[in-house]
Amino acid sequence: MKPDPRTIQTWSQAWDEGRADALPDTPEAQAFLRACEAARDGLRARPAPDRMPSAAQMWAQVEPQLAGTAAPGWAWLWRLASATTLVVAAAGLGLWLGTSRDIGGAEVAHVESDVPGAGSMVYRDAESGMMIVWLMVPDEPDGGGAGS
Amino acid sequence: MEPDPQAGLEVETWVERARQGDKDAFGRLVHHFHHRLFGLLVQMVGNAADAEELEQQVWIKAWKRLRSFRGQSAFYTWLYRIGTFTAVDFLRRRKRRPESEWDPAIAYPEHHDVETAPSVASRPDREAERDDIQRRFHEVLETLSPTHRTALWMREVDSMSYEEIAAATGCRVGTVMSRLYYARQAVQEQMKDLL
Repeated sequence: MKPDPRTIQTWSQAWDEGRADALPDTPEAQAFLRACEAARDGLRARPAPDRMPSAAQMWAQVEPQLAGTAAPGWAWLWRLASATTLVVAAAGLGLWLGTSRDIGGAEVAHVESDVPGAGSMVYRDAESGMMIVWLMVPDEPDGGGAGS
Repeated sequence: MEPDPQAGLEVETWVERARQGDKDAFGRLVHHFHHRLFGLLVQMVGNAADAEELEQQVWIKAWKRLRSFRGQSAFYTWLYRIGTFTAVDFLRRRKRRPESEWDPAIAYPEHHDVETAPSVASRPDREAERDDIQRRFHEVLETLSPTHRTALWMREVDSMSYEEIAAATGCRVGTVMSRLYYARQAVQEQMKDLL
């Protein structure tokens, strides 16, 4: 009689936990055990594909592609520092605009940002009188980051 | 493949240095995990050329996302997860049934040659029988889906736990157990005359 799926799953788990001895001494259970052994031995005996590049070849292909990418740890700190600089500059500009009475309507300013590809702008909202700071950071190619 | 505690410590060091932007340390990780990652990708996509292309993508993604690796799981589990999702995305884009793409003659030409080697009959019975089992096993493997092949590979070759496989493939532990059970049952069913 063919064992039910639950029984086979129990046998499969016993095999994975190194408890093959726990399987009953029945033809079905022993056949399943031999199938487990065949699968394990078959996979472990598989030769590496002959077209597999060496690790050195793989690294030689990967490394140049990292060149345009900032190192992950420092990139984060660098962006944080750039953003801080921008905020300080914007605050200074806001203070200056706020205390200047004879600005003559020139209430829009652009601020240079060190973040590559980022655009920034500071202006006073006419209705609310609030200073608005915009920082637009482009998406990374893999969708890794964005902001505004 | 039993884990080597010393290698584990080295990997932790390399990961930490790579997180700080050390490319040489990242290169060591590539050298250390290349064989395993390539094996996984070949299992999933079925040929070495695509696996090589995908492996490059996986390493570049890993470099960019290293900051998000918190060390709560093993590095290779995290790496396998990127690899699994990259391969699944590739298979989806390929828009053809992945089963039909699996070609052991392309992926493993050396092994495939054994099937037609004329000297098989002259070998000792035991060796010929083992070759028969191997050949039939690889035929069975072709009938399995990439997810079932991958689960079996991670368990039997990489000795990964259910939890690690679940984390690497983005599914539940119960699903991993089901995939393993199904794959083994398929082996048993299709090889019952040999086992």
